[in-house]
Amino acid sequence: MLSNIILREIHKHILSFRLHLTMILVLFLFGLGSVAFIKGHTADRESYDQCYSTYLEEERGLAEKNLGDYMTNVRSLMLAPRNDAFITDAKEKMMPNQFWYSGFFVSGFDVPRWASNDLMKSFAELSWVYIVSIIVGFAVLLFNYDLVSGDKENGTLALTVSYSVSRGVLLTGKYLSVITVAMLVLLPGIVLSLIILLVSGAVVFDWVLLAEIAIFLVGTALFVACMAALGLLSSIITTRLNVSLLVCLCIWLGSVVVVPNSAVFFTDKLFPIESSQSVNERISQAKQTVDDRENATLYALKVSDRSWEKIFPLIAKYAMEGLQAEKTIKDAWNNSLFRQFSGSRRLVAISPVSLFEQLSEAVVGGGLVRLRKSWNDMNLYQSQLLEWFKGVDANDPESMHIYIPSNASSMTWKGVNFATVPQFQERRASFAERLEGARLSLALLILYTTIAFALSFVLFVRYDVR
Amino acid sequence: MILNIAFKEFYTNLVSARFAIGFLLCLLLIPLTLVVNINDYKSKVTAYETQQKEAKEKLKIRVWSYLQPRIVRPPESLSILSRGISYQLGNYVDLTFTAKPFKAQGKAGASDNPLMGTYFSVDFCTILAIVLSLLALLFTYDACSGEREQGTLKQVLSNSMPRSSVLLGKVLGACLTLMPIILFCYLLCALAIVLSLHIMFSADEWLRMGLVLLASILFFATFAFLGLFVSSVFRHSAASIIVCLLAWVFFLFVVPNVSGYVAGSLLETPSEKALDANTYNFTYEKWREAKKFRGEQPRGAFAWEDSRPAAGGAIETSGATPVFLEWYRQGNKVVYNHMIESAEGRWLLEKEFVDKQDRQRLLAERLSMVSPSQVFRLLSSSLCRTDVESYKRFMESTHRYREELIQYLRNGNLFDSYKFFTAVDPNKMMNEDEYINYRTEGLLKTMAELDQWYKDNPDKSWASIYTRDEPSVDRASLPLLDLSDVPPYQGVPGGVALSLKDSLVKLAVLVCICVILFYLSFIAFLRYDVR
Repeated sequence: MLSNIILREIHKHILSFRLHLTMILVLFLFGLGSVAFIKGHTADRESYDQCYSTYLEEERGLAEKNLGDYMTNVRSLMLAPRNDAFITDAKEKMMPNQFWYSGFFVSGFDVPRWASNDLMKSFAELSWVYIVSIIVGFAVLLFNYDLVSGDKENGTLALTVSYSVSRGVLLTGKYLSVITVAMLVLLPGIVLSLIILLVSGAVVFDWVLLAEIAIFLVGTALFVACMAALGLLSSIITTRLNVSLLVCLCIWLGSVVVVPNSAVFFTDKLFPIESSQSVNERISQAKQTVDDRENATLYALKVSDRSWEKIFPLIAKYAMEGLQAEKTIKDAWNNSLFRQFSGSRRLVAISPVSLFEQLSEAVVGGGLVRLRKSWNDMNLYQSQLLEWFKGVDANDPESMHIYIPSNASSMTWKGVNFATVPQFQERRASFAERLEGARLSLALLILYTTIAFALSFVLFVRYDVR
Repeated sequence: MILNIAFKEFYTNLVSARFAIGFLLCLLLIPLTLVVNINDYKSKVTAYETQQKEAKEKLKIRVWSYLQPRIVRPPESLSILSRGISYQLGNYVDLTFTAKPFKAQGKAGASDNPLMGTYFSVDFCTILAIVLSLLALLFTYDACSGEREQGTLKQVLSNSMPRSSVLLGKVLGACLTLMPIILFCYLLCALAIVLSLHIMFSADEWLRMGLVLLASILFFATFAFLGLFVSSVFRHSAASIIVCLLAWVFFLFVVPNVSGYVAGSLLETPSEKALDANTYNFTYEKWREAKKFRGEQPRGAFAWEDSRPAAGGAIETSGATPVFLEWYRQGNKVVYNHMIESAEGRWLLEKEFVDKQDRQRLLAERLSMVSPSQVFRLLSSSLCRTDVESYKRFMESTHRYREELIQYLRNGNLFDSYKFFTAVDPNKMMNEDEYINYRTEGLLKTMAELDQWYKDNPDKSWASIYTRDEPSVDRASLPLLDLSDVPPYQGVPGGVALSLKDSLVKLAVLVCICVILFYLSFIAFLRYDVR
């Protein structure tokens, strides 16, 4: 019986004008998005490759000339554009994507300036997630705002429920048909996009990518189910078609516009962080204190006693102290940035659209998941590099073996073969790590869907059709 | 008669659920947006004040080479109406001899956390655009198709009333309904501005806000015509609402992003990292050239207090031999002339980059003008001076001011004065012999003796002869320059007329869209089959 209802509803939907219109829009956007992605991605890739080869050249030059200079040099390294950014770019161009480090200290991350044109108002990229969350999410609400209230208004509801079908089955049938139809609207677009991407050759398809696409589709179905349940609920609690539509629009506006766009404000109030200015002041104060002590010690020495052998250990001691003071403050600050951002993510979790974005971001292992992982890996890499360097330095009889983060003259100044220098390699998050990142959004999406559907179910079963 | 229809529409709309919900939506969203934007504006003001303080500190100078003021751009108070790109760009520029201002520096976003850059914040005009267009469509989508379904359209049109009057009445009715909502939103905004302790609007700003209000009415009318047009093309209101809503999503949420994305992939901008490398190499090369103009450092010319040029060609020394000071002074005029000339060359590289960025931006804006809501947003950011044109005007003003300062230094022959790089009196400085005498505490008396000592002790480190620290100078005790003659920064030209000039094209586009939609709905309604 359920399948009969589903089929009947799907049939009704397929013939409807709104489905055709939505399908055209979705196809158009998927096509346009893919073509634009290919051009943009190729250009980004070229730009990145150029930057990376310059970086490698500089690294090689330094390492082969003077390893001490190589260790003290503060440089930046950025993450490569993602191959799977067509699924979701996870707003990585607006996110910190570049790390600053030397052999002694990973000092921070920032948003690389090359990534976007700051004269142009920032915009969301036309990725799959964008199309699904904005257009398909909206279309789902349009498909079912009149699912029950429409029947109520034109009086057919009494007839429908007088059939020998239980109300529960009827409602479930209607609900499942909307999900199916929404997925049917989506699939041609995704297939079109995949064809364009395959033909262009701009994206290399491997098993990981295919798995990501498959999991993304499951996530999409869940998101569609959530939006459909909300639409269904609005259609049941209202008696008039117009009101149901307005409620749907309010839900959509709330989750697409209001919640994500007021996140910064509420996050600043609920999860405040210290201002960057005050952090910088604290760092320079801490450094000043160490500097003052250093100067006092150095000037206490007689001028004729100030040989490098005596001075370097002192400089190194204070330099390390200064670095440690800076590191303690900066690490705490960087952690507070992550904490605040995670807090903001929990705030926007009221919106199914934001949840879906977070879920997809975790599926492709981009955005926050990627940044966090690379940040940890970078810190790990830096300590490995330092250990490796100390080993090489120990073998150099001419080196004083005194490590000053900002001055290379007391360490080995010989060059090494660049191939032997450990290099930072970005490791993509494993599926287990991604799942870890997706846990909250997945659980909440399921929760919202269940609550909305259960409520609609109860209300519909108890509904007085007279 | 038109008025009768308008009032009838007005009353029907007024008691409808859509009016109530629309009103509630505004009541909820507008205050929230205002609070968020006033809060962000406050953080901009704080950033401005901090920079202003630093700019003042920066001008406490003892030598002319440090005349490199920081120009801070005051935050635009109308940014609470329309943010434009004001939250993407920095707010100050440091003038230097070595480069022309390229990009505004400083804090751009409202948050200190770079991760939060992934969230957008909506301003008053955007919320207004979203809500007004939605309401305009909701009030008009069933104007014809709905009445046809109910059968009332037949009756109305069977009267002696011309169809055009009916249409005008309906348009007027929708406008009458929306007017209270628009006015209410602006009143809320005005109230927030008056009550807020952080914002003071000048007459000019109130006037520009009034212009934004007029633009919103025009914008609303555009969407009302769109709704009427769709309503008179389709026979069923269920179809017209779907078309209206999909058009709404397309215009408000798809076009702005698609246009940016497409413009980004059609017109590529070169990487800023490559530009950085180019300009760095260029400046370095020029700097090496400039050093040659000074010629060989004469014997006895040395400085014991920092004389390395700081950023932007600023230099100050307060401890050097008179020979050094004279040698340095003589070289300065030609060296700084060269630096200033090479800044022009560097600017050519940077200008090309900025122009390319600007072309991409213009393409994105033009593409996005297919959407009336984008035109309205561009128009309002022009009126609120948060658009790129205003930013460019600020940058131009800093370029002009830099020229003025250089001219001032040239007119006063300050480049080849001692005051350009030292605040001490050269006649009172130790000469080279006195210096050696001082550092060795009388052991060696002259440079010749020092040379002899080096020859006699080839295995000793050169510094081991010195037993005393370098003579120190307390820079803070040196006199500050009197800058009262220096031409002040004039600021950016303002005035409503200028904002109007910037927004004229966008206004024209919006009027055109409005007229075309009106014409289309007029034709469609005249041909509408009422059966």
